[in-house]
Amino acid sequence: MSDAMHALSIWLIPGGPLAAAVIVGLFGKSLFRGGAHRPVIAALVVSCLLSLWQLGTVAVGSGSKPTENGSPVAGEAAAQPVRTGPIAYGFEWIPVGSLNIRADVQIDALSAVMLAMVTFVSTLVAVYASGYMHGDPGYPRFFAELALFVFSMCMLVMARNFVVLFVFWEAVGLCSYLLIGFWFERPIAAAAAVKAFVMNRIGDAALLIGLYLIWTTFGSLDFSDVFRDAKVHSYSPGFSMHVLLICLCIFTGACGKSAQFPLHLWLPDAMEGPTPVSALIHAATMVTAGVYLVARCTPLFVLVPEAQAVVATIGGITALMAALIALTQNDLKRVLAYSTVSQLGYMFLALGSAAAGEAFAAAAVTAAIFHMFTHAFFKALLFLSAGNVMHSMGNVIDMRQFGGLRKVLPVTHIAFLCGAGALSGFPFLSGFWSKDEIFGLLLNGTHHGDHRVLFQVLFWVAFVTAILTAFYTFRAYYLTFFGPTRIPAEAFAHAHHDSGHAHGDAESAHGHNGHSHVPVTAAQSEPVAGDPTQIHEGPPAMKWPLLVLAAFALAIGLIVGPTHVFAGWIAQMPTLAKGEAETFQWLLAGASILAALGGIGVAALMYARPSNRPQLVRAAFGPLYTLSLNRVYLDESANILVTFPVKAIAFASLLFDQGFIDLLVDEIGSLPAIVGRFLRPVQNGLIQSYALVMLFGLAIFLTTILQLVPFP
Amino acid sequence: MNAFVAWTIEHRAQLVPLVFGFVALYLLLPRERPFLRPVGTLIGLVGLGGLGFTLLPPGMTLHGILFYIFSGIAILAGVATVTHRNPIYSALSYAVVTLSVCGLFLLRGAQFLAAATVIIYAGAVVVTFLFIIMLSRQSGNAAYDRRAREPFLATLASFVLLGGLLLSIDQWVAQRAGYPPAAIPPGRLTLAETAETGPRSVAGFVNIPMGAEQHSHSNFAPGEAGRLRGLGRSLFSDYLVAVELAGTLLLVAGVGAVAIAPRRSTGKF
Amino acid sequence: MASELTNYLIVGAVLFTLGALGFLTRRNLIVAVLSAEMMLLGVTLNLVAFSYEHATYEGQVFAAVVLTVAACEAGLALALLSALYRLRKTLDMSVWRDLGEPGVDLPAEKADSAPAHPTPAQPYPRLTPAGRVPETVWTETRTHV
Repeated sequence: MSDAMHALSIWLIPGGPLAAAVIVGLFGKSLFRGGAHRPVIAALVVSCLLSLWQLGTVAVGSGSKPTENGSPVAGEAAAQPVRTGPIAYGFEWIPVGSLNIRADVQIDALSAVMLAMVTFVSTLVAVYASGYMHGDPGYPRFFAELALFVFSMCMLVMARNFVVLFVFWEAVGLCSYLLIGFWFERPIAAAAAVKAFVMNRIGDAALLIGLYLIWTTFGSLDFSDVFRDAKVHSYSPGFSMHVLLICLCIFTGACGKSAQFPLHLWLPDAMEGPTPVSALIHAATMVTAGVYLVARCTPLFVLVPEAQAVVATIGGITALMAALIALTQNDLKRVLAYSTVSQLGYMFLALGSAAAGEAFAAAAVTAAIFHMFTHAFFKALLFLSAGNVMHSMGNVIDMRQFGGLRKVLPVTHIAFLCGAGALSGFPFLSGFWSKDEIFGLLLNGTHHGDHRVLFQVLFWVAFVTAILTAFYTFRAYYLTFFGPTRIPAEAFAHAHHDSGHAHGDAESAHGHNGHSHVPVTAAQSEPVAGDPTQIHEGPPAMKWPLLVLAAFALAIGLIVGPTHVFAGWIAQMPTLAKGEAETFQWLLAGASILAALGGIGVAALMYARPSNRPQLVRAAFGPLYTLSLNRVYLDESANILVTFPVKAIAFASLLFDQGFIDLLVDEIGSLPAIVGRFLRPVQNGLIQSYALVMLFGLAIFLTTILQLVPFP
Repeated sequence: MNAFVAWTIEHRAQLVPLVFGFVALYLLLPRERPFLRPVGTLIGLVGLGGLGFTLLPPGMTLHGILFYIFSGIAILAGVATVTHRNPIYSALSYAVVTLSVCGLFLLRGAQFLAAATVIIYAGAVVVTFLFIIMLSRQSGNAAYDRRAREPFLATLASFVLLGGLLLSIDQWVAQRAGYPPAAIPPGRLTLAETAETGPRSVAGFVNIPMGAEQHSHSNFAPGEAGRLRGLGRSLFSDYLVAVELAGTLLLVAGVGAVAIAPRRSTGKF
Repeated sequence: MASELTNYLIVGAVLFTLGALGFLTRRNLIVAVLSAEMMLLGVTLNLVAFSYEHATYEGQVFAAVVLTVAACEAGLALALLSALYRLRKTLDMSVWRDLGEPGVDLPAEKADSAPAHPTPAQPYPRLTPAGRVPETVWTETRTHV
């Protein structure tokens, strides 16, 4: 294949969605209207196919399975054949002095894996959204923004230097803002969008500082230059302090994007956006950008194990805290949101466990990316199922309002069950394999490296979180799909609306003209004992993506995990030193199976049948329950600690501006009036005074010009 | 500073009458309490005397005496015009000024101009002024006649101007060729000689010609010096366009005056 | 020491200055115009003096034109004055201030508020009645024209 065709195929991966975004954005309302999904889905399918092909080309190529007992050489001395993957050159963007930033893209193993995941899930979500968002007045806008997001995300993972990455980092933040605030007429949605954007911005500020530090330390912002130099200079004194700062700044940026403590507050509120948005952006793709960044910067992080310890600690704290909060939430989507935060914490735990030693960096990255990979599938699945529930229940998502839906929504039930099982780590489903690798790494960290005690603590944190994860996931499952069948009143209004239209057609004829899936606030509706047979599933567009994702959630872990196919892919990543192979530890696997089954069992005990056990437990844990239900009051504390001082400063500035500066300017502005008041009496309208002045002038001219008077 | 003082002393001939005149006119201008009018009059006369004494030649010819008389009357009447509270008297004083100035015209050999000025100014213009004053009077002395506007500044400005004019004349005189000229110009008779020669010299007094050959840009034809015939010829040959334009101007002004003046039919005047 | 020409120039200057002073000072419209005429007279004197000095008729011709212009000006000025008097019934120059800044007051206006000194009513002579007294008796007495 010629270079030009190769480059074109690489550029087409982000270019297709960009073109679709532009076309739908400009002509959506006029030309496409109800068909705005077609260009976008077409572009996404093309991108997906090209990404899969790139994955095949780049990552699978010469991936050799590392043997179990052979320990490959450690990083520094090995002459690694560096496979950089195909580079598609763009243009020279910022040539300033010694800094030359180009806009190029490159696909290496990590990029290829992420591209495949992003485009695949995006395609499925786009198909789903064409059914879910049907009839919404902003239908074209949604798809334009969705395509824009996919474009930004693809460019982000394909960037070759930090600046381009940062540009698209911001771009995905922007798309997140646009999509969370999709129904911007709702104040709460607009506020949630702003909250997400601002919290992202905080992380981005730290990331920008990190970029500056990289530039001053390394003199260049290209990945290849920085990572090569990092290896070279790792013995210079003072260098490690710089790199530590850089890593901490980069990690702070990643926290902002990937919703780690304390910058996680925006993710649960981001559930105000449409459910496909939650599924795509806040479960599978955007929030993983932080994980991608830290994984990409592994060559820097391996130089400072302290930074990696920080990463792991924050990840552990976040995982546990989010799991504890998710235990008591009544809103299904919020449970899933906190679950996302918790699983992202797991990914950072994995990345941080490379603190045990440089040899474990490859395994750490592998585990983190593998967990991200499987998480994308089952979390997207869970969110789309929740979307189905919301759609059928008339936009009610409070689990207290409905129940026993497994007869009413069978397909959704099966899909949710697959996703829940994967999330909980049910044996041999995809989540099980990825979580197991992380446990293995943490255990590894207790035997090697400088932070053994820390990793002991973190291991137990992760273990307990796994139990909690299984519990709250199946709590949600039982509350939703088991128990007496209760349907809220809005569902019937919705169903009546639907039943007047023809069924069985393709996506477009579901007849949702003129309404949108604005969620109903909780505790507004009373469950009505109506006829459950009136409630039905969504259109086929909302069913098939679920089934595809369910299949992946079940099988993908098994296919690429223990077979080390995934590890082989990641090992192709150029900057990763070859490390030890992960051996499958049966004891650990057994423990995690027990944890998962234990959590599921307790949840079944409490929620499978209606009983008063939940109330008893709630009463027993009284204040802790309240703490968890109110999300550990973190939102409120952030309000007090951050928002209030900023508002106070803004108010003080307003006072200063109006009181002092405006006063000054007004006084200066009134000067001409004051001067005028003194000069005005000269113009009194009398010719005689004018003539007087003229005569004076004449006399003075005469004496001056003729030099009649010698002035002393 | 010393140069300034020296300069002041050098030009005392101009500055002293100037100061006196300034004070006099400031006091003479109409004001609410005219208690200072006699004082002002006195000071003014002193100043006028100073002017006359220090600036003009002491030549005692009939010419000189007539000049003193006419110019003195002109200046006094001019002061009266400006400072009198009653506008009727102002107008009448103006007529006196006009007559005096006509006398000065006669001394300078401009007979036609003198006659014309008397006829037009003193005859027509002043009378018209008097008519308008009479038709526009309010009962008694009007308020606006009793108080002058900005007397100090106006007097100051005027006298600074006068000072400038006088000093410039003095400066010009100092630079002129043929300075100082003879006290009594040639061809002029002293008083005694005039008394001797009698009426003939007085009769020829008015038409004292200037020797045409003494000036390079004279346009007197020979034998025509100082005569009315020469003026007429010159008016209608050399300056014909000016004369015609002046006539047109008169016509336009006449039409304009008729247009502006209020109609009798549109109400009482 | 001065020659005769300068004498006349000085007199002309004095007349001009007096005229300027009168124009600047007097509030009566007519006296102001009169003073302006006096300024012209001073200038005319200058012209005539120079005409004699240079033995040319130019000065006299110029003076004649000035005279003409002065006459025109006097006529037009008086027509304007009568029109203005009709509007405001006063010859005070201070009332015509429309081009000035609004709100600017002339100083010492309060002196004008004092009533004019009324001249005592002129007792017109009364003739002794002769003959028959007519039926309509003219009773109105005029104190002013």
